[in-house]
Amino acid sequence: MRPYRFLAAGIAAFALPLALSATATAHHGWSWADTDQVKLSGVVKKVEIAPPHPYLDVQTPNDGMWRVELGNPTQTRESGFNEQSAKINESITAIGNRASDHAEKRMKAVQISVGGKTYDIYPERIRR
Amino acid sequence: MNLDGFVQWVAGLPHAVFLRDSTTGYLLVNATHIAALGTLIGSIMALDLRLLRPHGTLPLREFGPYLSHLAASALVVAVITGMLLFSVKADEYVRNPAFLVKLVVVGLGILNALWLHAGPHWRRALQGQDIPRALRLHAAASLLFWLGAIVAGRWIGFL
Repeated sequence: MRPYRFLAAGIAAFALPLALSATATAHHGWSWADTDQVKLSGVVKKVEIAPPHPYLDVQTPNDGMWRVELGNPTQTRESGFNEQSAKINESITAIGNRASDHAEKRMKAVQISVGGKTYDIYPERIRR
Repeated sequence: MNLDGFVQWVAGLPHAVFLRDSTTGYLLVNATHIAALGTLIGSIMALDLRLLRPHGTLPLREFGPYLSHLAASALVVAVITGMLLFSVKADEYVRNPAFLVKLVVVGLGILNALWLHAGPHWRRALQGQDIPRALRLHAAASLLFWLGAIVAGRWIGFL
């Protein structure tokens, strides 16, 4: 059974860095993000609605380009947000949880406001 | 056609447009891709481990071609579904280092398999003769490439 033990060790060696890196940038869940919510304002530079992970790129006045992750495709659509909802260079405000690693300009939005409309991506997480 | 032209052409294909809008369509293609990967890894690992074991008892004459064909069929399904998934966000994937590494590793895996099948060792091993060192090297490389393809593939979503 020795070859199997080698194989298991090999797979573990492959998988370990992957498991560790998963904590750095994962789209899923909230464990990678701060519990406190922040408000981000800027202009839309990219709208990506396609699966598996819809997101926006937002240019902020003083803090460069931010990646604003939305919900999964179904959650995003059910919030009313679609490809036409935000145009390039339109002003946008996003409320959500930023990555715990503050070197990373990435947040997961619970609510976004753009073009005079507000979209609740994660209604149950919006703090009023 | 340059890279940007190619990416735009892919993004405009009817199935790319369909999968971008259809969550259910995307997840079914995604599920098929995963099923194909599982079949490929399962069958190729069973074959490679048999080739690596000097005193294995699994009869290669019956199981060698069976596992090899199963892996090849699964690879075809994985490549087709992979191209469909690629088309949804082609512009991002062509700039994703993990995706490019995955393409290279999959290419190496295919070359390794073709090389093995072109040589004499495979047919001899199927006839029940001893498994030569060269064949075992192919098997070890195969394990490395296909597991590497899984790791690189999973890494795409984390860059």
